Amino acid sequence: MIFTLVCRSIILYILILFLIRIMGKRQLGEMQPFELVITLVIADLATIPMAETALPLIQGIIPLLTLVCIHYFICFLSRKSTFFRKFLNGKPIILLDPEGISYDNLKRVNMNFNDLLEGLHTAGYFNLEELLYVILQTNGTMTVINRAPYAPLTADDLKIKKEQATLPMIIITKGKIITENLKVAGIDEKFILKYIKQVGFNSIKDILILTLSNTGKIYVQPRHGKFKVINTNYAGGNW
Amino acid sequence: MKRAIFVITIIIITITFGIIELHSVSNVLTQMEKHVDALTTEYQANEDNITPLVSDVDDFKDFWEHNENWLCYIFNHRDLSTITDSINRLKANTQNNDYDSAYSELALLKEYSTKSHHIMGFNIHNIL
Repeated sequence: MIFTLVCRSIILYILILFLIRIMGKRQLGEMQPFELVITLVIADLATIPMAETALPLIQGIIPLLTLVCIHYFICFLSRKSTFFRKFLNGKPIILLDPEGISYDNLKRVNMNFNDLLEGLHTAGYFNLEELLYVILQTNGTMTVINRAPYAPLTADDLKIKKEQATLPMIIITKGKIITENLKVAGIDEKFILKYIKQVGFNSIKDILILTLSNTGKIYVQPRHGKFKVINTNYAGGNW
Repeated sequence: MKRAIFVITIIIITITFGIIELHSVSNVLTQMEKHVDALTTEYQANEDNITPLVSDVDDFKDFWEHNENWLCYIFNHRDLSTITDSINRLKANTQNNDYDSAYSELALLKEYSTKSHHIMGFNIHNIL
């Protein structure tokens, strides 16, 4: 029975993967075909022994474990082999190029004009003449490149120097100091206490969250009350 | 690397359990077949009065119930209970000295024990 279950799981997994691949990319929605298959099948497999008490649990467990193993090997192979990755996930398809909509490619991915327009509207694009390329990625999402006159301006276009944004470091959560982050930021508890006392907090225990940005800004929120932003003389760290 | 070890461990455990299960199931079914053959011979020899054979049926029932307990971890309970039901009917027919019904029940049990090799085993028919 165990080997039978293993073989059946492998056959059904490959079959569903194949069916999803030939259905086209529109069904995927931000997952690769093999990820979608495992999501669909695992959810269903888990419920069968749950609801049917006459079935031993092992009849649900063995297929689940088999799928985990197949999934691992498929991920491994798609990491190692470009050919296998293309075979498994397909390749990105250009739906719109500088000459206009590619009707043949739309047919290839089982889409119609409405699907294309709907996807573009969802992404915030309403005028086709503004677009240079629309690419349908292997996970079913659309990537858009604007024609130059319609591309958003960047700081570089305007020759403006911008400071690099960094991820704020969480220093205190629920009244506890995260010592590793304190070390990475290169500060100590006294530094924090000095600034939070300035805005009326006497104890670290009262603080719900405190973050420090690389530009020296402290965001602090007490457990009960409004947040405050403090500018410090922090010189910036290497994170 | 950790994930690879985890996956390889799952594969090894599954294969080990699979082999143990195949071997054990085959063993149980072979023993069951032997039990049924022995009972059939005894029934044929005591066609006039089969009531004293109740103790033999009880032994067979004990053997089956002992094995049914662990088979339930792998197979559907309902499928296994058909064999249990058949043994219970065999016992009742034996107590009532109903040779024909008891004999047909034995024939059914023989069928179960031989066919179950195919149904519970690992073969292309079960896979597909």
